[in-house]
Amino acid sequence: MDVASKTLETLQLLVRHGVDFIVVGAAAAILEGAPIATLDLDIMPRPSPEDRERLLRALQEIHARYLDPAGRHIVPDAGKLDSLRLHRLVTDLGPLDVLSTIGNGMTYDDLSGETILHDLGEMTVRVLNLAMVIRSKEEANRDKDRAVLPILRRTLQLKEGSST
Amino acid sequence: MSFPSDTADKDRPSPQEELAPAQGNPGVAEGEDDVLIHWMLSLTPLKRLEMAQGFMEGLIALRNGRRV
Repeated sequence: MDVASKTLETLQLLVRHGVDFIVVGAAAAILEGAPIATLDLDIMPRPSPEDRERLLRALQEIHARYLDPAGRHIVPDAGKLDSLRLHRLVTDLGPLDVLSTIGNGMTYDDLSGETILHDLGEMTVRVLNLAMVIRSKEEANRDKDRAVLPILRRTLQLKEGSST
Repeated sequence: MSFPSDTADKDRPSPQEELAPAQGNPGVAEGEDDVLIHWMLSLTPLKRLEMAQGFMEGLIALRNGRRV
């Protein structure tokens, strides 16, 4: 894969299409102030039929298809969005992961009260707070999650220290 | 390299001491870089995102051998 996610452009697209979503994962950690890097953008859309349709329209606009090791051209549709937990997509704007749960099964409803609105110039996006990003990565417990946990925890410590 | 001594500044760390990674330096603890975190926190969320995206694009350009 030759392109990093054009995160800002992807967020603008989702907002323009009226998708209700939460930014999660490494992009959320970056927006919360953690000095880490990522190639993709992880989002969790609101699990409603309306948001699913808006998301599908947005994904069609950027020619989203599944990242398939066999090289098949498989595009997301309503059935797949409803039935799969993780959609690892490639788009004209770079990699995009669409998730219905994170960590040990935390859903949109579980996380909607754990978000912060971040002003990104011409738009505002809902971002999972850093404490919950850390929790989701602790629960996922993959090598790549464990690798960033020390700097995420230290960032949270310093954020909390500076806000008191 | 040597630096001139200045008795008026005798309590001030020498340039060598300032540049040396002191033991217990609060900026660097067990591989974590507090200075970098503080700098990141000083940016707006938009700038944080732009910085991270620009960093990754630069890395990819380097990997591909393109001039940036």
